[in-house]
Amino acid sequence: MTDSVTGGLVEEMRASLRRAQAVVHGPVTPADAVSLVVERSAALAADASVAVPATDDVLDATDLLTSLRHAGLSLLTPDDPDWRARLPGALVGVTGALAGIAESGTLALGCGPGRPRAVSLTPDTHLCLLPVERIEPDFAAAFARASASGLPPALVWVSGPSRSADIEKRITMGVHGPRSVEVVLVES
Amino acid sequence: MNAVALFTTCLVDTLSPGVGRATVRILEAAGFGVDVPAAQSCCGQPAVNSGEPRAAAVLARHFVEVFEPYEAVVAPSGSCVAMVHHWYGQILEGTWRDRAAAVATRTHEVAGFLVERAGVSDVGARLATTVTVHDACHGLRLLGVKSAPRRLLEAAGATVVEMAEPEVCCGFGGTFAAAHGEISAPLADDKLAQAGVTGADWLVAGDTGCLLHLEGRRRRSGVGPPAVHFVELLATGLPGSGPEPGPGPGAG
Amino acid sequence: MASLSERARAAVADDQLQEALGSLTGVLRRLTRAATDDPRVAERRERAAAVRRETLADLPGWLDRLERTLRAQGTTVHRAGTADDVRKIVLGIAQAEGVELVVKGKSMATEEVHLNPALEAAGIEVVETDLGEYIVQLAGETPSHIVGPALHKRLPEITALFSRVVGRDLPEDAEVLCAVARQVLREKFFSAGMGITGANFVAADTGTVVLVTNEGNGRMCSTLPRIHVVVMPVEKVIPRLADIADLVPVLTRWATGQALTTYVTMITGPRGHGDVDGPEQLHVVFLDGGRLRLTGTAYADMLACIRCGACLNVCPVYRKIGGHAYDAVYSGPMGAVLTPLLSGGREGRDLPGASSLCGACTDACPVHIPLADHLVRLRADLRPRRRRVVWGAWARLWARPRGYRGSTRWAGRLARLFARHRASAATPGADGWAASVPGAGGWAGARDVPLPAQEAFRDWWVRRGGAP
Repeated sequence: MTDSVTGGLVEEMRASLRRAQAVVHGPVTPADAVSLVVERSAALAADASVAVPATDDVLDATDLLTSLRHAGLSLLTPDDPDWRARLPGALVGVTGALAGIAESGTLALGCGPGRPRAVSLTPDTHLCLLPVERIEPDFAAAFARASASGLPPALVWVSGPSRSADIEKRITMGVHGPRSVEVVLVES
Repeated sequence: MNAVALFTTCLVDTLSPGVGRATVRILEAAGFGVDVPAAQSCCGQPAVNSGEPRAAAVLARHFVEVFEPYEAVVAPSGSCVAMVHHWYGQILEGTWRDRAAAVATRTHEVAGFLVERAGVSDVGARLATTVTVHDACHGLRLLGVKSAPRRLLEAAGATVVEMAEPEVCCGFGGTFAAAHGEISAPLADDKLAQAGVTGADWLVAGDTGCLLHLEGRRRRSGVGPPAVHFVELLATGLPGSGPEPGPGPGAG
Repeated sequence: MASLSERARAAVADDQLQEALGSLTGVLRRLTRAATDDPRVAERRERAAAVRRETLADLPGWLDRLERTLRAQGTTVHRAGTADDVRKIVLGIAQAEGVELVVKGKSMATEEVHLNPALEAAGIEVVETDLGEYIVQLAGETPSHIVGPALHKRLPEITALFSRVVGRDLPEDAEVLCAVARQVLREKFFSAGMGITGANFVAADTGTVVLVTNEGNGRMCSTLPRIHVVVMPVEKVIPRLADIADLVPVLTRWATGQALTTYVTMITGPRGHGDVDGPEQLHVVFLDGGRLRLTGTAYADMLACIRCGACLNVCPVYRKIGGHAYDAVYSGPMGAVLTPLLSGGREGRDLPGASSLCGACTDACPVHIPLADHLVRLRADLRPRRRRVVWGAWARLWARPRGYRGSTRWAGRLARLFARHRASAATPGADGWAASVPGAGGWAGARDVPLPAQEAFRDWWVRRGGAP
């Protein structure tokens, strides 16, 4: 994919993410992405914990979990014997993404062993790292990319924070899922 | 010689003959010779809508026999022409269905016929009035009648002011108007209120059922401009015209 | 038991309902129209319409295939012929597993089979978690719109309901109420033994259940409880999971104008080995409920419906009377068609007649179901046989020129003779209208009645020199 095509998709993705009420950071370098996530986690979680997967190719590539630990953040990983009991205390969840849909500002999240579903669901804020080369123009292309190595037990497509318009059509965020979604676009 | 057969429709024939007279005058002004096959009656729509397709088929076959000799059949009613186009193929079988399909290709709603088939928007009528248009449902959705009536009116010099929702049903719906007056009348109120807001002198439409329902309601509620068929309004603007039009049997 | 007309009259007179209906359906119509102007959307729509019909050619075969792939993923499959079967199956699972609390995602299918009362009767607490459904549940009512179930409820009422739940007075503020709902329902999600959802689509090639929500309650119900039960009406099966790329964007565009809802969840099997969340057991219940017998009939394409609600939003009747007046689980045009069909004509017999047949529903349907034509067909199929004789006689009379002319002439004379005019009418009948005419039925209550003309058009034509 040429730079101009990617550039166009990135711009479309940023606009769509904003329309979906997500916060967009970047594109930034992998190193800057790590700093950003650490900074945001510290600001949002403070003394509470940060829920993370045990394994995620995007997070592993940048060794993000190590950086979070070094910053003194309390991480909740799935191998924690009290994982479920400690889940309500995790104010931030951090994941990577398998793909992005530029048309709708959507993240494809793969969940299964080592990558709990709740990490992107129960915390108040979901921080997500999306490498720009994984941004596709539409659902069809993004689905092909996200399912290329098989289907995980749960493949969740997220477009911004949880919301409802059921009370007199007034749109309110954070009804059940995260109140806030922050996406860090990572340069290749 | 351009000759057309007039498919009067039973509502126009019995309740709004002024619409029929106006249609003849408009077609003649546009250069067409008009014939009115004497044996015609009804397209069968009341039967179809009441869930009686076999009864409707009796009338559909009669329609085919009456109008099949003509090269062009024109009606001042989108819903009746839509019946021929959309339903005859579903209630008839075999050769009757084929014959009906052939007649359907030659059967037209009057505004669509003039503007889109004959390329005539200016029939020689001159109007100095403001109108708002209700897009009668079957003509709109099944025949695509939308711009043709407006083009005819604007070519005559009328000012067309759009209401907020011209394409929403007026609430007539045939037997629905009597069976569910409690829903039908409020829908007329909405349409008349929207028409009233435009400040137009006339509310026009292309279907007599809609017009009788709207005008009947307006006479009770006092809301909105008088409802009249666009051919009647146009005909008043022709040279040598008679009195003002009005819906229903009292028309000029 | 109030008739449809009585319920409609009450709805028209309910100012609060009228305001709610007007604004919600207006917003949804505008959003949908704007969204559907995109040419990419038009292409997807045509593909979606075709995909929905692909399975109808052999629905039983597709269901067999789906059952195989679901089982291969470790999902348990149950077949339910009737609503009662669904209730027995779900209750059976709940009781076998000692479930005391159930959290539910929005599912019209579970409404259709009246699942909640069956569980509650067995002492199981059931909590609706879709915010609109939760509100409706607290109010002891049923949903009034398939996409926005609480559209008929206003802020003050909702505040009162929530205040009762938490035992203190809450402010009339949507944000505060949502925060309260989040807190209350979260506690339920974490402690529930079973989550029950419907399914928007279920893919036969991968055995994947697809849930589409904005709130995240579908995700919660399928993540935190130990058991997840999916009630799936049989027409939800789709050939390939990849078809979702057309089906879901079309569903969301037509339902709410959104490019996508906040969450589209693709669930393939229960939790994997080493998973710490996700259900240990995933059950999918296939609900027939009168659907399979529609295949091969003129009504088969009704099974293509994707439950977007667009037909409700454009229907002049629905916009005027709201969902409850239909007195059926499914309302609006799709409900007026589906209710008599699924019940074999036992329920909703009066619904097809409560339509002006304007056709806006047919136009609005993203998968091209000819809803207005189905309403007409149903009128024929539900018609009492004795009326056919009368209509047949009328048609034969009017197919004869003398019969048509004679009967209309006489009907005109009688109408003018027996017409009743307002006392204030200067020259009664001179302008061609009357206050009422015998036989005008429900017309004259609110409208003047047009009188047949003294001279029919055909007579004028002959007088003018035309051929008789």
